[in-house]
Amino acid sequence: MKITLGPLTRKGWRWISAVVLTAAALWVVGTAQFGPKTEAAERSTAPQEGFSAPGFTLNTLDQDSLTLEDLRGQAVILNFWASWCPPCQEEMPAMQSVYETFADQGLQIVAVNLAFQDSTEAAQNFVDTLGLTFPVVMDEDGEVARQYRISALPTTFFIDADGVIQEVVMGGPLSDALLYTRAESLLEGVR
Amino acid sequence: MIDNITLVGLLVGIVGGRASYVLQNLPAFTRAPLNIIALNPELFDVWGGLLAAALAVLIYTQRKGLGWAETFDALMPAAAVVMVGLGLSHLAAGSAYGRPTDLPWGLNLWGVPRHPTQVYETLLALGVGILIWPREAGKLGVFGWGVRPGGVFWGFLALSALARIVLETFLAEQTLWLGWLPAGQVIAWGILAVGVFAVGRRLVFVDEPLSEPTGVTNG
Repeated sequence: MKITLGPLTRKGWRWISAVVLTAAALWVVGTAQFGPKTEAAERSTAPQEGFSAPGFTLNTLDQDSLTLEDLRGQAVILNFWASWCPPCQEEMPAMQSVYETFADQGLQIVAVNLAFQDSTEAAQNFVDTLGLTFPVVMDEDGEVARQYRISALPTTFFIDADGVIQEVVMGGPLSDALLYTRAESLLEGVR
Repeated sequence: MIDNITLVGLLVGIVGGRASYVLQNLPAFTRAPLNIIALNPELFDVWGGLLAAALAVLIYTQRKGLGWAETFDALMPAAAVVMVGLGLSHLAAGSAYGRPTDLPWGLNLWGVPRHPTQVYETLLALGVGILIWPREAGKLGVFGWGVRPGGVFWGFLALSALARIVLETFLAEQTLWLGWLPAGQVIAWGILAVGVFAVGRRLVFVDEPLSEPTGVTNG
C-alpha cells in the first residue's frame, strides 16, 4: 500500500502541520467540554482498579462478623489466601509486619481464607503459627472469591479510604517493600 | 547490532527502573534491604526505566560509532509491534477500559457495555505501524516522502501521539487538569507538536536542495 500525496513542498508541509495540530487541539478541547464526564462520578462496583470494592460480610475465625463497608475511612489491604498455598505462606509475615507498622495510622488488613478449598483447622494453625493479629475471615461457600473473580492465590486488593480499589496484584509472594509503599500511598488519603 | 542494542536497553531499563523506584521509596527498602532484588514487578518506576534505557542506548550507539537517529529509526518497527501487543494485553487483562456506551459494538466489561478501547488501541497501533513501516530506504513509510535519519522515529512518535489523543477520548478513567482538561490528551498534543516540528526538519522537500537541516548534526 502506498499513499500518493504528490511531491511535498515546505509550504505544503506547513499546511499539513497546521491542520493536524489545530484539528487535534479542537478535538481535545471539544471532547473535554462536550463529551461525557469521566466515570469517577458514576463509579460502579467491580473487582477492578478504579471501581468500588464489592461489599461482603463474613465470619472471622473467632466467629465475629466483619463487613467490608464498615471499614470505609480506613486504607484496606484485602488478601485472598489458603493455608496450602506456598506464596501465601511466604508473604504473610510481611503482611503482619506492615500491619504492625501502620495499624495505628488507619491501615486495616483483611485476609480472606478460601475456606471452601481449605479447612478451618489448617487455617487456624496457619494463623497461630505465624502469629497473625489482623482479621482473618472465612469464605465458606466461595461467594466472595467469585465476586472478586479470584483465579490465582494469593490475590491482593489495595483499597483506599473511599472504598475504591487502587491496585490489584495477582500472585505473590508480595515483598515487605511492596506492601510498605502501597500502605504509605493508601494512607495518604486517610491522614 | 539491533539485537545488541535491544538487549542493552532492556537490561539497563529493568535495572534502572528498579533503582529509580528504590531511590524514591528508600524507607521501605532500608527496613528490608534484600527487597531491592524482590521478584515483584510492581516495584518498578516506568519512567526511570525508560530514561535509563534511552541513555544506555545513546551511550552504546555512540561508543559503537552509530548515529542515534539511524538506530532509533531501525528500532521503530519493533516499537510498533510492541504497541500492538500492548493493546492486546490490555484486552486480555480487561484494563484500560472504556466509557459505558450504547453503541452496538460495546464490550460487556465490569458490569456494563463499554467502548472496546483495547480494540481501538490495538487498531490504532496497527494503523500507525502500517503507516510508518519502512518500504523504501530514505522514505517515510507509506507516504513515500523523502526523509533524513531520525524522521521515521519522529514520525512514529507524532502518529502515536495522535492515536493517543483519539483513544483517550473513550477511556473511562482520565486525569483531569483544572477539573476538565484531560492530562493525557494535553501531553499527547505536546508530543504531537514536537513530533510534527521534528519531522518537518527531516523531510526532503521538492522545492529545497537536499542537505542536512540547520542545526541538526545527527538526528
